[in-house]
Amino acid sequence: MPKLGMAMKKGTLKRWLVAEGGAVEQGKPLLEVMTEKINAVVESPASGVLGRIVATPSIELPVGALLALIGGPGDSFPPAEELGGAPTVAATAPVPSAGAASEVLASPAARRLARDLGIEIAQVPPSAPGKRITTDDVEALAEAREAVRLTPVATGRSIPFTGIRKIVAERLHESLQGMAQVTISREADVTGLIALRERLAPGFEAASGIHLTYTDLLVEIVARLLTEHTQLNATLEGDAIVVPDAVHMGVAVALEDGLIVPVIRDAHCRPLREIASDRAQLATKAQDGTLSLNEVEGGTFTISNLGAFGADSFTPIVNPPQCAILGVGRIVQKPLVVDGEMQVRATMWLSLTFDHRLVDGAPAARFLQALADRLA
Amino acid sequence: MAVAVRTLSFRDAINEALGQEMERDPRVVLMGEDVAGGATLPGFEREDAWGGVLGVTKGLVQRFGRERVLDTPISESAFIGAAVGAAATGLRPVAELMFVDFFGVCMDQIFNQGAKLRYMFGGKAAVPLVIRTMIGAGFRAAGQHSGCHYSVFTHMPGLKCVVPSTPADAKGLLTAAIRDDDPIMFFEHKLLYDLQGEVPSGEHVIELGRADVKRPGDRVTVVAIGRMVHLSLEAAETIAAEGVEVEVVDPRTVSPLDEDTILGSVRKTRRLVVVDEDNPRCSLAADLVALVATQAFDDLDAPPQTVTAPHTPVPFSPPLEDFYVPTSTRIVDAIRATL
Repeated sequence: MPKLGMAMKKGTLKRWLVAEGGAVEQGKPLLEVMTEKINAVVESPASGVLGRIVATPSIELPVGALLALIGGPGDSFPPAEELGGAPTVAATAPVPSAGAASEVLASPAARRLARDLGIEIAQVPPSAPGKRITTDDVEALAEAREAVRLTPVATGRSIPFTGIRKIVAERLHESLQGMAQVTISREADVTGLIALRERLAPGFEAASGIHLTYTDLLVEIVARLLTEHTQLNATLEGDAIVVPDAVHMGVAVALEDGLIVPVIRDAHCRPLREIASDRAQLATKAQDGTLSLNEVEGGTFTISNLGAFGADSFTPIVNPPQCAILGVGRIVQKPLVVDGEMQVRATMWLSLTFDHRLVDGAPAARFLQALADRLA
Repeated sequence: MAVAVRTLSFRDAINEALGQEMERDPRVVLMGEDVAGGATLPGFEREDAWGGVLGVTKGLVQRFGRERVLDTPISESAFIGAAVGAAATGLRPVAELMFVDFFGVCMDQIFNQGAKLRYMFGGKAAVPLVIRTMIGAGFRAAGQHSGCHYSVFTHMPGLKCVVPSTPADAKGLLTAAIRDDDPIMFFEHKLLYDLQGEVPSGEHVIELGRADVKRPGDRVTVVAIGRMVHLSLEAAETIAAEGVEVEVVDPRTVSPLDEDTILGSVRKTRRLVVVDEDNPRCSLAADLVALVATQAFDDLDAPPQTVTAPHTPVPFSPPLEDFYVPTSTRIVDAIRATL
């Protein structure tokens, strides 16, 4: 199992692109691996024959685990079992631990039936508290589930809850479980932001063909601002609050079946042109599914902009191990009282979710205040 | 063959099987204490035969004569030994060991001679012997006349063991036993002798090693032996009122054992109760539970239950004897324990 990024500890073999016994060529795609962050195609490290496949798809393996043997034509290869080919951890459907299952009072026949039906025995309610679970109980649960499945209101298609959707789900749930998340919001006058974009966009377009977006401007502004509000750029690692020297800005990108957050490195010090160019490239790669692992890891703060979809405001969820995320809404023209006078101004809602374990409300509000000042 | 069916007692069904087989095959002879009694002897012309202590062989000596219905001295070691020898040399004796509790004095003849000869002579010797013997408590006959002990003989290779529960089974199984070339222990429960039941009148043979489902059901399998079949049927009726359909399986032949029927029933019901009047340790009850535990573990929905006598000799005190023998109430409790 290749290490595809600094933080990668394990990966799930998604599928083999070459069958056992097939020819492989160094540098040509060999297999697909799914990590917590991305899907990646792994190239063959050598040319020859894929002599023995040891790892089966859908199995999560630690970095360094043996996946297959490559050799020359006519070489003989030991059977997979001898090479430790027995799967260790099932990635998508964790098997209940033997300990947990044996603590359940259930008959042998009930256990077998549950196994055959794919029902976890611990989920089967006995006919009375403390009674042994029997096949009748397993059948009752299976029938109840079947009835739910067949209920007319539930008609529709069933989508397997696996892959990237499952990873997104787990990470978001983990995030909410593990942190004390608080969201503060404010409306900001963004007349200045609009003017800035109008001023710069034609030049960007002409010079490098880059379409300058509000997100690009926000990345630059927020990244620079975070060098002054460092606690919002911090991460919690074990017992330490680590405050990075750099701001690596994650930008949430919506996908067909999920969400991915590519990272613009050193956004606090790089020119806007590079930021815009990076962001455009990363967004394209995200849509194509070709992001590499180092393009999605190491972020220190995230911006999620739903303005393009017409949202006014929302409560974003922090992307661990970061400690804050900024949610950006749409820009609207509205009457605003400025210096005692009614004016038509452009405004935008800013929502900052932060981990209250690391940051308190006042500094977070000050950051939003400072940001609003920059955008006005 | 005639298939007329009429009601006979368990005792008369056995008598009929003996008579029919003696008619059919002149090599069939009866031996035992008082199997003829005084009948046909000078001075006893007007007496009927004893026909054994409970009259099972009554009338046979008048039909077949003292050459074929042999009263023996009260010496089990002598006449069982004689029966083994006669079987090995051409006759087909049916010997009566009055009460199974007496097996101790003739065990060498049964176990070390009769059961082993076929094996020790490489299949060239056969011992077509039937030993009929009375079993069972409930007769107020105390510890030396009341045991079951068929588990002891079931343990011994070379013997076949039959424990009938109905008049028809008694006739059919005894007929098959007499025609079989191996030594067979045929256990008759003394409390069943007056049980009435329909019995085919002509030739009636029931293959040895075939269990019989005495009552079909889908919820709990009760395997019961001998008289316990009737108590189990009673228990099944009782609990049927609660909607629990019990299947009562009667092995009939406990060696060889019809494992398929028993396992098939347990695979259907997922629950097993064994009812056995014999003592519980190293017993048929234990053996049947072991069979199911090893062959059908994953089919079980409840721990198998056993209803047996306690591990004591049969007591003489009537209240204690009543306590000793399994009852249909205890069987119902055991069935409930599996639900």
